[in-house]
Order: sequence, then C-alpha cells, then structure tokens
Amino acid sequence: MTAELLEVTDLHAYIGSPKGVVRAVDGVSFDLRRGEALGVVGESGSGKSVMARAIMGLMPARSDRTGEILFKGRDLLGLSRKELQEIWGPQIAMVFQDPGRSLNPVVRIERQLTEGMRRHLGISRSEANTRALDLLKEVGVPDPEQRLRAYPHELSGGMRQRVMIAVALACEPDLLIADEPTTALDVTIQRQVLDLLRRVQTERGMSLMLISHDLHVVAGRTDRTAVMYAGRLAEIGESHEVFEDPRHRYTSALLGATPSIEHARHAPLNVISGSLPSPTDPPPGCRFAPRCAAASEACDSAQPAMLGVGVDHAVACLNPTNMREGELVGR
Amino acid sequence: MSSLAGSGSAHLRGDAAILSVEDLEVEYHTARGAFKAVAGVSFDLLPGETLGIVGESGCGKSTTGRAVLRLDPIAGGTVRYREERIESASPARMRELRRDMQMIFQDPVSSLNPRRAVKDLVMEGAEIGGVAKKQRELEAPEILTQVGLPSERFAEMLPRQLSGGQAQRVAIGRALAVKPGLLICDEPVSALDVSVQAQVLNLLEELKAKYDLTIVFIAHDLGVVRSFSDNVLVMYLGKTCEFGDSVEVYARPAHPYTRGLLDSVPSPESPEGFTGPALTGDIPSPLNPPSGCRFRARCPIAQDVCAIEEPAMREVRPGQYAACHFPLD
Repeated sequence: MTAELLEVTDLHAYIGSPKGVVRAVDGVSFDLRRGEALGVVGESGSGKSVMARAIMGLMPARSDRTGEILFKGRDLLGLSRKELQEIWGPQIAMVFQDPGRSLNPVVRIERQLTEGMRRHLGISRSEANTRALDLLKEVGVPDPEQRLRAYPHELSGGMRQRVMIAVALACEPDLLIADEPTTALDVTIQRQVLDLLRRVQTERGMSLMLISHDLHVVAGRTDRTAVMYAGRLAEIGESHEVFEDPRHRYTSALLGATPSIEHARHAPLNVISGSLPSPTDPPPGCRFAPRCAAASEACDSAQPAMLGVGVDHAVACLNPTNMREGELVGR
Repeated sequence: MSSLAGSGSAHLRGDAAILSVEDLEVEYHTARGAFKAVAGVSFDLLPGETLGIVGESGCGKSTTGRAVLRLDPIAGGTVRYREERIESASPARMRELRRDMQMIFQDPVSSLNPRRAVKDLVMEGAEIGGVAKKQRELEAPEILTQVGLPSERFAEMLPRQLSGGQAQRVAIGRALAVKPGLLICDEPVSALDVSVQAQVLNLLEELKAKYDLTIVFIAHDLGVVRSFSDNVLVMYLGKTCEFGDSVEVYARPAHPYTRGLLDSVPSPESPEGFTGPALTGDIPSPLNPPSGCRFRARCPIAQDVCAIEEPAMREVRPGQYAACHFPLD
C-alpha cells in the first residue's frame, strides 16, 4: 500500500461558457497522503472548487477533464457513473458550503443518514439507525435522539453542517473533501466545525481536503497547504511553512492583504494591484506575472514548473522569494 | 443615566458626540410573535471617529445601523444626530437628514439599479437632492476618479459589467456625492475577495480623511474591524457586551463573549490553530432569549446571578466598558 491515497497529475478541467471555454483548472498536480489533511486556498476564480468537483466527477454539462486522478491507484477519470456511485460515500465523500441546500428539505435527518449506509454497507435498518445515532453523537449534535426525527429546517446552520458531516462520514470514507464548509457560519460556530473536522479526521485516520478562501482558516488546521491562482497551483508545502515562509509572491500578497489581529490601526493594507487574468484566454507565461512586482521577461513567455524549495515545499515561480543557497532543485 | 433597562449607557460621552444612540430598541414582528432584534443598545461617536460594531448573526448589528437612518422603525430609546432627534423627526425631515447620513450595503451589485449607467448611479443621491443635470454631469467624473474608477472607462458601464469591488466603489461614490457627515457601512467588504477587500478598505480610509467622515462600520470579521476602527462595540443577541478602544479591547477583552469571539478567529501561529478554547453551544433564538445575561448559556464562567440579573455596562478599565457581572482581568 503506497502512502499516497490520491495522486492528481496534470489535471485540466475546462467548462464551456457563452464567452468561450473557461480553463477553470489548467494543469494541477499534487498528491494527498493517507491520514493527511490538505488545505486548498485561493480567491474566487482560482479553480479550487472546480478542482474538487473534477476529482469527485461532479462536473457540469459541456465540460471536459484531462489528466490523471489516481485514487488508490485507480484512475477516477475513466470510471462510469455507476462505478463512481460505488466510490461516492464509502471511498470519497464531500461536504459543501451551504448545508441548507445539500440536505433534502422534506426528508428526516435519520433517513438522510441511513440511506447511504444501507446501500453501501449492506446493514439492516435497525443497525443503520443505531449507527446514525452514534454518528450524531460523534459530531456533537445535542439531543441526538430528537434530532434524528427532525427535518433540516428545524436545525440551525451550524447543526445542519454537523449533520452534513455525519452524512459524509456515514459510510466511512477514506477521503473527505470539504468545500468552504464554514464560510456560511458565524465565527464561533465556524470554530466548532473546524475543531470537529480535525477531530474526526485524526480519530478516523481519514484524509481530508479542506478548501477555503481564507488562508488563516486552513493554515492552522491542516498538515499541508496548496495555494491556487487562476487555475494553477502557485505553492504547496507544509502548512506552517507556507504561512510563515511563503515563497510565491501571490501567497505573500494574499497574506499581506488579510487584516490580521496584529495590523496597525488605520494603516493601509497591502493590495495586489491589477485583477485576475481572463479565464478563457490566460496569458501564456506565469498567470500571476502581470500583477507580480518581480516579474521579468522570462515570466511572460513560459509557465513556470513546480520548483522544490526545501523539504516537501514546492513553488511555481522562476524567482521565488527568500531563496537560500543550494535550494534550486528542479522537480 | 438609567442603567436599569437594557445594557446601560455608562459609556456614552455626552454632547460632544455627533451621533448618540441611547437604549435603542427595534422590534420585528414574525409569525411566531414579536421580538426585540435590538434590545437597549447605546453607543456614540465623536466627530471623525470610526466605530466598529461586531457580533454574530442575530446580534442586531445591521438592524442597529438601519435604525439610525430609520430604515427600520425605532421602537424605543433615542437617536441624536448633531442637533436632530431621529426617532421623532418627520418623514420629510428624515429624507433631508438621510443626505447627511449615508449607508453602504453588503451586496454592492444588488444595491445598484441594473439599468442605469455608472455615471448616473453615482449621482443618484445628488439627483434626488435637486442638483441640476448639467452640474451632475460635471461632478460625476470627479467622483468616479475619487473612488478609483477612471471616468473614460467606467462612466457608461452597467452594474452587470462591474466586478464586486468595482460595484462597491460605485456605491461608495454615490454615498460621497451628497457630501455626508456620517457613513454607515454594513458589511461593506464581506462579499469581496481578500485582495479586493484590502483595496476597498484602503479607499474608505483615504476618503474618510479627505471628507472628515464619521463612520459606523458593521462587520462580522474581527480582523477587519480592529485596524479600521477607533472604538469597537461588541453585540450579542440584541444587547451590548463591550465597548472601548478597539486595540485595547482586542488586547484585553473584559467580556467573556469578546474573549470567545477572539479565540474563534483562526490563528495559524497558535499550535492548535486558535488562541484559546471554543465557545460551546449555539446562538439562542432571539425570539426566546435567556433570562438575565443573554450570553450566560454559552458563558464559561456564568454563575447563578447571571440568570437572574441582567448586567449593565460599567467601566472596567479607563475607557473600557463591559456588561458582565464577572468581567475578565
């Protein structure tokens, strides 16, 4: 058994639109190890959500995926819908931003929890009901017996997200993909849900992909962090390193633009000048080059390859910041 | 000043304030009964100050902002702006006053008429104020330049052609075109990406200095509020918890709720990703708030008295006020 649970190689996900083909994900490679929590960070249009959906096989009509998505050594790109349905739940599960919309509003919580278990685990109704109760306890839903009989609208946003996580965990997946799971929640509730995700991930030895627009949310809660920009990976490395010693100028700019608790009062925030490149007609070279202070001519002509900069840390930049001697190792 | 009802008003600074809100109450009527979304909130701003109002869903921060402009009816308490009593002003007088008290909303695109061009949108307030068309056409390019939207490129655009950040700049321009004294910003950057958010915040700081604005800045993002504000007001379920200098309050919160909020802000430098323990429980329904202190059900240090007696705002350190029976050191 290899350490890698998921190996994504040169993934492209293109979506047709009236304005042309949107190159939402345009050549992304990374791996996710067993039991590891990987954070994926980026702003709107970075491709982080499309990437998650491309891995799941939840692409919209008029879209195209190329590359390789090896999950336990099997390429998910070649699977039929029927084969995917055997993967969804017991192998890979997903939690979305809006728990109100991902739960069926006219079905009681109990059935939403037990449906997948009965199908995939082949267990009896009463056994499934017992497990549903245990799951609600595990995710910290108070009065779980009563909540099983409730409909989604009877629960608060935070409770619904806990239930969604319980539904995702029901068939014991090896990988949980959480796409902005706390963006719709208040800060104290977000905190509770992040704690919960981290706890179930470590207790179950599950792999987690935590997608967020907020680098702060991801950095302290994951083992590794990937930063995406305009459909490509800018940087990937151990979370504390990406946060404390970012080597891509987009990562540092993103950090500088986030008002932190330490920021001086009324002092201007660092801004990233310019705007995102066109998703249908991106520049030929580094996608961040038009906004990068250190861009040279070389940056405009060819896309930079991932460059190893230290242990388990790679950056897609011809001229990373803070270079140390002997660090230039191609990857 | 009475501190029996509501959360008290010991932190008010009297006549020097340009805006003074005392024991404000706003009632909402729902199918399940009436409730007070704002239940006795007091705060004030000196000219040129920025007050940040923070709190989670249902705390009443947006309702408070709207009530100051009487966009929601004031059910109790007083609101004074300069020499005017807002709660008793006539509708006609209110329309005049709203020119001096402008508001910016969270969703910039839906706050703009989709059929009007940017150059007309920024002058909407001035148009209602009776500024002649010729004068408006003269002023529009100036305003657009002020908010960083070069007139040559943006004047004829429609809202759907703008990004979120650009639309928010138009909304800011529209507010400034009538030369207000007070600007109420309700989550003005919450819908924007981090990099765009920084641009809009910097713009607001710039314009504030240039136009001598007094700003009420309502937000759920604690990081944004601290550096942008002079004072901060923390609200929970329609009540005030804490008021004081924003840097001081963040450094040494006196109310356990403020502490819990700050500890919920992700902190990548901390080993567990956060600086302290999580608050337990959910935010109670404002339809049926707990007795006594409304925060007690989630408070890690609540005692019996907290269920019986509602705490009033009192000075816990010079200039820092908290509504808590057992304020933190």
